[in-house]
Amino acid sequence: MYSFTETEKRDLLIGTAIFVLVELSFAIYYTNTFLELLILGILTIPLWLFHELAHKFVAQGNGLVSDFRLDPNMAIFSLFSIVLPIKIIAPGVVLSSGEYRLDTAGRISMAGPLTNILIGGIFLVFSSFMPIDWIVVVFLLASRFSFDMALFNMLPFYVLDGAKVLRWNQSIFILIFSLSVIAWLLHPLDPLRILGFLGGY
Amino acid sequence: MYKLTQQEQLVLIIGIFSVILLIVETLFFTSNLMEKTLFLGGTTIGISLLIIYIFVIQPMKGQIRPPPYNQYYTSISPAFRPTIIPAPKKVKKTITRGSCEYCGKKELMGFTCSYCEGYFCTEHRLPEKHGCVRMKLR
Repeated sequence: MYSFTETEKRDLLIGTAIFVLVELSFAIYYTNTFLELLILGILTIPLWLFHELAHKFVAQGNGLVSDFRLDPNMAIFSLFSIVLPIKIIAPGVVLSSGEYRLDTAGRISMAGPLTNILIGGIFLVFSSFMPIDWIVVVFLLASRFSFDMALFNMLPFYVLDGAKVLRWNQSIFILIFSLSVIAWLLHPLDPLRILGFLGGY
Repeated sequence: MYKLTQQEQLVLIIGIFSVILLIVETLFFTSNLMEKTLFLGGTTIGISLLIIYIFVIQPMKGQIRPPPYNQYYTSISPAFRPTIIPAPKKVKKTITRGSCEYCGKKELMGFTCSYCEGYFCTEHRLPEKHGCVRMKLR
């Protein structure tokens, strides 16, 4: 039932590399040593990988053909955003094919952001038990990225996951969207400063 | 419109209630940063796990019967849709009645020439007898 193609494995590898590089270029303003960046790089891998795999596995579990595909133009654009101050990470998408109902599309879409919220929460709990200060900061940054991703994906625009959940059911969209907004706002690291609105760097 | 089951409605209410509780708790009742972090982390893990299980994993297992199929959505990308082209069928015709192409005599069980595929009587069935065009070309 759950299967990967060879193209997909390669695409997932390239996409993960791009994601980690962009997130590290984001984090370089807050952490400076090599070890911190290395650990942060390892921690950011599941944020993106599990998000895409969640979409894929739920789609395959519902009996659809589903594959991750790299979009070359968007991948190059994402690579450019390493240098640019505005970061956009969209190297590829999970394409699902077959006949499916509106609620199935919503369920496939909501699996991704919810995985991000879950991973962010796990990193938050880990961070509160860590003995050393810089490891706490690294875990907080990783969970910060995770909540950012969840909120961005839940925005109700056409191609994003939020639009598909909203098209299915309003109240479920309100629940997940409010959860991601609250998690984004109440995070210990100041979200506005991270985004650079207050001149954090 | 797809209707939610009772279980899903219950989870929806629990989820919204716990989000409100999360806001109230973190804004008014926590003083320590570590306490706040732990509470936020624990609540997000709990709610997201609950929603993932009830809304995503459970319908995948087929524990809930799906509603009647009335709304279908197909993929946007046409490249992903497999197309099946049927192979052209070869039908071999065997003629059993007609008139001889050489002498015009009516024949019930005649012969078809393997070179020119014409229909001939018993006398003119051989290529030499009916002056077969294909055989001359060879």
